[in-house]
Amino acid sequence: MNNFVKSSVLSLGFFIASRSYAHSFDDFILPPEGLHAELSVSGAYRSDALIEGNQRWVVPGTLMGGEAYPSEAGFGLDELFLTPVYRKENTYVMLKIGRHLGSEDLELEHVLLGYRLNNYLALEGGKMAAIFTPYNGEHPSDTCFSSRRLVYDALWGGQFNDTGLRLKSNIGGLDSGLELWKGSRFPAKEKDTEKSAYDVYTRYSVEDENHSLSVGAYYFRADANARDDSRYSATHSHAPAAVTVDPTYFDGKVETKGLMGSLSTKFRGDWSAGFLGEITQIQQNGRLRDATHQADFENQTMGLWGELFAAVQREKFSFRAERLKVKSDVYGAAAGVLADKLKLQAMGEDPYRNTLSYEHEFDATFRARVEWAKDFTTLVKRDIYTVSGVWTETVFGIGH
Amino acid sequence: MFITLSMRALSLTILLFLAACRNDSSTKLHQVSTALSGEAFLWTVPLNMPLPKLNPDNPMSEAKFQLGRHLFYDKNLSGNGTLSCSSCHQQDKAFTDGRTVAIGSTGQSHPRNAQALVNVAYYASLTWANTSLVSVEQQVFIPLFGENPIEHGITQDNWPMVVARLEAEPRYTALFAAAFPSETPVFTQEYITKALAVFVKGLTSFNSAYDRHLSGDNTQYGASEQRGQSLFFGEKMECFHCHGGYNFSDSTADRTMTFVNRPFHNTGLYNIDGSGKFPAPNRGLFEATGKTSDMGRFRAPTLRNIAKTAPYMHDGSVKDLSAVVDFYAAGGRNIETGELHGDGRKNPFKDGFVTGFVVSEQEKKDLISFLESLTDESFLTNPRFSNPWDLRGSSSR
Repeated sequence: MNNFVKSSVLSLGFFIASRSYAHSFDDFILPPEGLHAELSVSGAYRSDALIEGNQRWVVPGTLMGGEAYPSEAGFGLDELFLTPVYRKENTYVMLKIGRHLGSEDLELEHVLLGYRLNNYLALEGGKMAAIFTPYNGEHPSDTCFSSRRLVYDALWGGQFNDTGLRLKSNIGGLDSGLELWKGSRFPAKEKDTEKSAYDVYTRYSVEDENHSLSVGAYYFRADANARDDSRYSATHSHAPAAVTVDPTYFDGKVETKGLMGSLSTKFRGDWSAGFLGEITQIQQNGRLRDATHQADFENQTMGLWGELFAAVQREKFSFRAERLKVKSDVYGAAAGVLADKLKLQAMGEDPYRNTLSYEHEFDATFRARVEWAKDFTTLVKRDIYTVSGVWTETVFGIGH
Repeated sequence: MFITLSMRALSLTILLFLAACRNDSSTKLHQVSTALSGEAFLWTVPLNMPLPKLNPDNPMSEAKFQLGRHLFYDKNLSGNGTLSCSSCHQQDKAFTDGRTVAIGSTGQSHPRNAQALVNVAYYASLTWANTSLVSVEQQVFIPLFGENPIEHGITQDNWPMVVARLEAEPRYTALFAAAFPSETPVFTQEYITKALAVFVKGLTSFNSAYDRHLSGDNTQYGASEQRGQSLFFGEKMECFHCHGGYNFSDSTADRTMTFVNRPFHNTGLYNIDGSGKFPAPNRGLFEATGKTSDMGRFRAPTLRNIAKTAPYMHDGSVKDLSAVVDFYAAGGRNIETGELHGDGRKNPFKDGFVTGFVVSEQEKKDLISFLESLTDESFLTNPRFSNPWDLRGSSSR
């Protein structure tokens, strides 16, 4: 798999190097001056749950955690977010308060303070979502699908969202950045020590009147210390009481490399079509342990997803294919015990999910979706049908 | 130009996805460190399973195993020469006897159902409910020499006669000499119990359809078993809390563990007069501790080969797996008449996980399919565990 990623990186480098497309300088994108706030609410009806009852959700073979909660059957409020943003000249503050898919509590998800140093550089800090890919910070209500991308649920705990500092630049369409993290969130986890995480990324975007193209790459590194699956720990506010399990910890190195890209084109009339996708590879080497067992652990998981869409006027058809390729080795006398406990036994087949979505935009604030997902991310293959709606309103400031 | 770039990007992406389409997710377990631990005994345990704890006073050996196997199947090892261990622990029934309760050599009924001898070496405690009985060597004394109830019926008085019968069997001379080469005399209670303990601990079972499914072989593991597995490990039915882990029992110990739990559970089988009582002398851990809160608490047995070990529960009072599922779905048992009347569902000492659940006929079938997938046919027919006296067609054993 390493060779596969290396060759992919080389291909991407060749692709970028071969471009002869002149790009003009774009001003750094900043929020509008003053205060504005956006409210987003999404709800859905699902024909089936991702797992039975209050089971612990783990894609077999992966070490999951963070805030990756499974969707449930029936009607439910998926997400609720209020996002106030204030900017005065080069300084801006952004908050994000709400609840995300699978959780039941309101929480302060982001508190971000940013400062634009000049036309090329900005510094941001606080509790925020990483932007090593633009998709990490996305919620289902931002997309054409009511579920989070499998790769993010399985490898990033839904979203990598931590306290940290970000230096980002934009020069001639080339977005780059360095993010330093406290390392207190999955897949990093800090406990009593100075363990941390960081990532670097670069993306190149070009666009004209009818086309846009973006390609990028990133690298993430964390040292996990006593990382457990906090979703089901007794102290976690979201965990159903009946699902709590005695903790099993991972200590070790987490390294992730990824490539992403998007492409969209407008055709004559109101037609447009496009593709976006990402390939990521996580390598985790370290040790698993619980109160009485210990085993060495090596895991390499490749996650892929791609989305194709076609839109005309207010209608949008999308297809998303997602796949995980999991390879794990567990060493030691307790290998079987811990693999059993953590559901580390791979299913034999790659976990995957294919989703077809149709979306109708009623107006600028409300859109409805119908989806059919074929899911094989647990031991049971399921067809899940979903009807959902997303309401987004600027409640204060521009657009209000 | 843009179209060219776009086509390159799209082609690259499609190539990446095509390359990813081959199913090759896998998990490999490497437990060589224990499998090749230098023990002079061939555990029939796959590499992905930990090995049982060792008893330093009775190291495992093939010679002891073979001696224990002969003793296990020998009716001469009883007071009146009518009963062997295998009378109540028959291989084709996962070493149970199919009876409600066992019957001893004198015809006396045992108050409890004969337990399956499956992965006994992995139990954290032995027998249905005794927190202090933690080695098979200790436990073996009870059926051989116990007086209440009488099982093998060996006493101080008839012990010399039992030894004489064993000494008369020529095969034992070599077997004892091989098992305990440097020590004399050979026909002692200590050596007999040690050899029996080694044989019983060697009865390991990890080759069920479920185990093969975990290794990627689904030939005997279909959709029903998979649905049943989800139910079993789900919070709706709660089965796995007491019957979880690789041995499907929460009372499990192996050599990778530093600390061992010895849990016991009251499942709401009885609630005599609404007082929480179970019928004596079957009152679970209470019989050993005298604590009221231990009333009706029994060890969760392994569910490996469970389909072969009916009837169920400590007193054999539940006839089959269907009735077992109904029992747990009801959250206990309500006995409306008779001297045992009382609503077990309301037993004040009942385990918190036995809360009842709604189960459809399909779910019940699926759950039972899963439980049946825990049957290890190779264990039930393994010649290594079979009656060695059959090989010479002896009618006396």
